[in-house]
Amino acid sequence: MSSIPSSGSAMGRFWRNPGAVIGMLILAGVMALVVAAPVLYPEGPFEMAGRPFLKPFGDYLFGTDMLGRDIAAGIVYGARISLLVGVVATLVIVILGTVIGGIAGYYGGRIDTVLMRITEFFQTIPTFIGAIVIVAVLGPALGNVIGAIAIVSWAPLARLVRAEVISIKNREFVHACVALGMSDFRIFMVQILPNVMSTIIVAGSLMVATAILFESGLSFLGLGDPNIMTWGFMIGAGRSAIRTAWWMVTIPGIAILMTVLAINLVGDALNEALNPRLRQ
Amino acid sequence: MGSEKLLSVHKLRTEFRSGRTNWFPVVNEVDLDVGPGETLAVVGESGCGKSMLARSIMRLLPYPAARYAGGQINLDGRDLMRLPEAEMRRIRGKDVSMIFQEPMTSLNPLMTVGRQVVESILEHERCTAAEANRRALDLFELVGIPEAPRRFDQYPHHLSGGMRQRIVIAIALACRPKVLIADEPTTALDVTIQAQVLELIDRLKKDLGMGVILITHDLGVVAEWAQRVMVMYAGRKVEEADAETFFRFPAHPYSRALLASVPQPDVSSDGWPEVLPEIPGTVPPMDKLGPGCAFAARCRSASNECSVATPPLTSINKTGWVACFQVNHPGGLA
Repeated sequence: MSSIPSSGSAMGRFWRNPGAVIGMLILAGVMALVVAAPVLYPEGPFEMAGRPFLKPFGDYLFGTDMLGRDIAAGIVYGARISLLVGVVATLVIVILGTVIGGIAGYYGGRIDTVLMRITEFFQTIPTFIGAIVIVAVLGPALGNVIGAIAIVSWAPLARLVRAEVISIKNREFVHACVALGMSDFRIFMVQILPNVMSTIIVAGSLMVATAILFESGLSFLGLGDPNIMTWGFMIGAGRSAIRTAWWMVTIPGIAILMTVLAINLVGDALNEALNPRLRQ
Repeated sequence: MGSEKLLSVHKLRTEFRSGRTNWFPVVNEVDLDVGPGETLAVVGESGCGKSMLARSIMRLLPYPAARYAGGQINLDGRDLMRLPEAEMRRIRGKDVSMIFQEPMTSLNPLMTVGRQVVESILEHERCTAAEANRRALDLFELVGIPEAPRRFDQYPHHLSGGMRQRIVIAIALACRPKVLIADEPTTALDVTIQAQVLELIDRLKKDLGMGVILITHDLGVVAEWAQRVMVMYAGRKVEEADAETFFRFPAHPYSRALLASVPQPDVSSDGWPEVLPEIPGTVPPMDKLGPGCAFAARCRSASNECSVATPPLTSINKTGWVACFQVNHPGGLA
């Protein structure tokens, strides 16, 4: 018997996974860009820096677009929006999914039936089309984009949390806590939630990647906030010039690919480290 | 019976739902009394309503599958059946505590065992975190956990089954309950640990003046640790007696059959071990009980009368009751 608590060995398992290390390195790089953006490009991403259609690796690292804007500046500022949308949308999804799934799973019966029918209603909406409709109706502002992503994506998480809560709720230690006179809220927060947390963390980490892709897709279709430079917007703006200036589309595309890949690597590694079913 | 009883249950009836509107009893008109420092053993085969009796007393019935259909549960002059849920919650763990069968799963795997004891203290008593910690450490020593300060910060998976069951007992005793219900506390433990845990419960019972309801199907455990025995069959109490009387003169045919089926290390006259007698058949499903004594179909002394009416619980001596037509007859079995 080792004296290392189980959380410590979960961290150990996480860092021994090469995917996790690569993913965390890329994410750290993106994070550094976000922090350094105002220092690297104080003029902002919309400033016309030079002649249009300059090739990459010349005067400008990633070249310029059809209006002469520096693509590297767009990438750096776009990273900020991508991460912001990913994290905030995921937070909203996790809170919504945990509260609804948790209540449904813990109380069961009619409450469960009602909440799950509502959840199913949201699950039947095709996610991306649903997000397009919401942004089209409410208008293309950053808050609306985040809200739309959260509204179309919380349902699967709620079902996942519900299933986990039901399985934990029927374990004997929860019965023992009820027999000790603990209140429902305390049992849920102190006893059940920590046992569901690893599932939520894993699902949430993968949801960040999905949210970033959603935001890029919406921006590509012109439904992003027009005052904010994002990777999806850059691809959307550059697609008319794809045959003459390939870099305008390719470089933001690579940025999205790398970030989403990094988050997925981290999510998978977290899953392997925290998932009790995969634990040896 | 009288004011010296801690817990007294009167004509308790708990029903389960079958289908939409049918209800059938799983605990049927059960009376029981537990006094301070007394251990009442509840014995019977699997599925005869022992655990449902325990859960009924704690008012922890599965909703909406089960309901109360009558009776009283008096604890310190208060009828638990009439209390609102919020009030009942304050009683659980403080006045009546329960120990569960399986020490492997009755602790939260993600919380240190010390923390779990502290939680149960803080649930019912207002005190500072430091004081709760100190009291939890005292409880660790009380239930005989060596190296208490080191164990305090360990997780359940670091501890052996016997140690875990000690923690479970520490949690149940955190607020010095008046009555402890132990639902097969030792079935998951091996024999030596079993003896230690039961000895611990017995010692704490005497030290703290608790009443204990010990639910078990192990008659050896009953003989050693219980003062009174109550036999349940198909949701009914069929016999109650002093432990000593019960083992000397079991009255109900079911009790006799139970005692006969305890393995004995004797050999018979021809030098071969005796074949262990068994009770033929199984407990009838409680939703399919007809009229008459539920044990009649398996009973060797059953007569026509037994399958017509349910035998009432009648007193056979100063301290014993039995529900059987054959025993109650003048010149019957007894």
